[in-house]
Amino acid sequence: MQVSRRTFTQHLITTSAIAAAPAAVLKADDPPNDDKPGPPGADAKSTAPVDLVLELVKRFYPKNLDEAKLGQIRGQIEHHMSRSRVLSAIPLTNADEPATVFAAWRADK
Amino acid sequence: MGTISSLQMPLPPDTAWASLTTLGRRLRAKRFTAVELAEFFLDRVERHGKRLNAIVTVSDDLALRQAAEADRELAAGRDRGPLHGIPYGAKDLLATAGVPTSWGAAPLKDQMFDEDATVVHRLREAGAVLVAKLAMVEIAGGLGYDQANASFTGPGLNPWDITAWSGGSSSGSGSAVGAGVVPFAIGSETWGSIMTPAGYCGITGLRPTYGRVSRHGAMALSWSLDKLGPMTRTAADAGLVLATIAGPDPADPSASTRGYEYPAQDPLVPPFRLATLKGATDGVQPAVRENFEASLDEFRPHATITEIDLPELPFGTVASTIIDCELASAFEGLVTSGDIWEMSAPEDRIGAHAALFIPAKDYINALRIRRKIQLAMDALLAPLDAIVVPSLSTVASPLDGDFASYHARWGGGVSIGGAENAAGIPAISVPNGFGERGLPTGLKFVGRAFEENRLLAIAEKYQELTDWHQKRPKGWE
Repeated sequence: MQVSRRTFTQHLITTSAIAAAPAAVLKADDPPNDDKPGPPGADAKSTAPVDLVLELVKRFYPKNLDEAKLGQIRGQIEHHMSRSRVLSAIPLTNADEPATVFAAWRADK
Repeated sequence: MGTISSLQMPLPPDTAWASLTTLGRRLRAKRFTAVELAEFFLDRVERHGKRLNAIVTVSDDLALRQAAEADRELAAGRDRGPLHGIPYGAKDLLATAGVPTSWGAAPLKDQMFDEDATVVHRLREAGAVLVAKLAMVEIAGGLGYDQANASFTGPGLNPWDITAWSGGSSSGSGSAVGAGVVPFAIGSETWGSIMTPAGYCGITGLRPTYGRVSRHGAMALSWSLDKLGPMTRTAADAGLVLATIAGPDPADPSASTRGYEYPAQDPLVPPFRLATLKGATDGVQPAVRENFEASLDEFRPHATITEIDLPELPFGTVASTIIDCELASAFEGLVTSGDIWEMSAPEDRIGAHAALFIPAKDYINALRIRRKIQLAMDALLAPLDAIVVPSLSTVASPLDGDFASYHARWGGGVSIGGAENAAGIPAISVPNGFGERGLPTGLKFVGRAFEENRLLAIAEKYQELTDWHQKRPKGWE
């Protein structure tokens, strides 16, 4: 089953864990994700990347996870994968360093 | 903790709405003592703050001790400055020795720390008096809440209409200042958590440049995006508070060594160089747009106003990826311990699971693109004093229902929020009128890194031209 653009956009808003003020008040700039496999929990034996990651969640953190919750988590994984494609689409050269500052440390300096 | 309900209240009601400067002047003129001022606000915390779900813990014993010390020092000729003897509230993610710090989360409601956060320490050193720890969305909203009822203290209520939300995640800070429960509060923002409650509650909220204020002792949601800032009734008050809490801190490697002082020695004067953002009023509520345009009209005699485009970069994607990855690291323990299942909002109970498996390369790529965002935003802002936009696309949402449904109709236009927070640049929100259901709307100024004083000068000018910041919600006398 194909997830519609509108449905997925709504899903993005409702499942995104983007912190602080609520996602719906803020604005996500992620594109819609029309090329994803089926709906949450559709095929437990799927080898789609989203289901493989979902399987990792189930294996590492199995506590209290029922089908409904797994469906929500699956939606979030889809959202993260959508973001991943946006990030990968930005051209980066080898000289594009991360915006982090690391310094060697001495307590007496 | 003792009761203060039977105390006499000799202070006039307008004390609740007075500026920090006015309170300080009256204190030094012996119109009241610091203890009387603390008792006055402790009474408001009990009568109004709790009704708004704005209070986690009333620190009355501590407050009365600090106030008594403030009185003793003033009598002895020691004056610690503009916040000496002034009560305040702190968002409950700031560590306070001897007072619980819950982070808004039920499983952590009895959490204690041995030392004060640097911000709390600096306010104590400035003579300020902590009267309450203020309510907040659980884990500062990092788990993806989609409703107002996302804290063990209940939904934050808006002082202008208690059937509306106060905004989050600094819910109590917004509503307590808005209702005159405290003269000022400290809030925090990772993405939107000062701007949203400031806009919804009709107060002034200043989100400083990342690194301007030490985060030591504050709950870390996202180490590289968290900022602490003042929530006040006026821009001038925000400047006074920022000057107290800003500055380098060996305990926080991200704290900038740049100095900060307020008032500025060389303040920005009109004409200001302002820019609006193309598309920023598309899809906002009509009153939000009307109030924004009226605000621009107020500025036209005092500013040049141009229109600009945001650069084409995935601001929200970068900010949300970084936040999700850092919160996954910070809060994996909530998942492994099972404490996550005690969160108030059902969606917060599952919110961290997927984030634990975001590939490291996505985080690194987000940080690489973040650098591009920093450069692009600085270039955009370099010829300007500020970008001016509506603070939010709507007035406060109703308490009932989910946010997504409410915002489906008024999703807003081009948003600068992700860019601001990804770049770590400052912003200030001031009230600029009222919209649907009589709820406040806000005006936001966004500036170049470490240019808080430019933003304050512009906001102060706006508050000189208008009186929206002096409006008071009814029912909180």
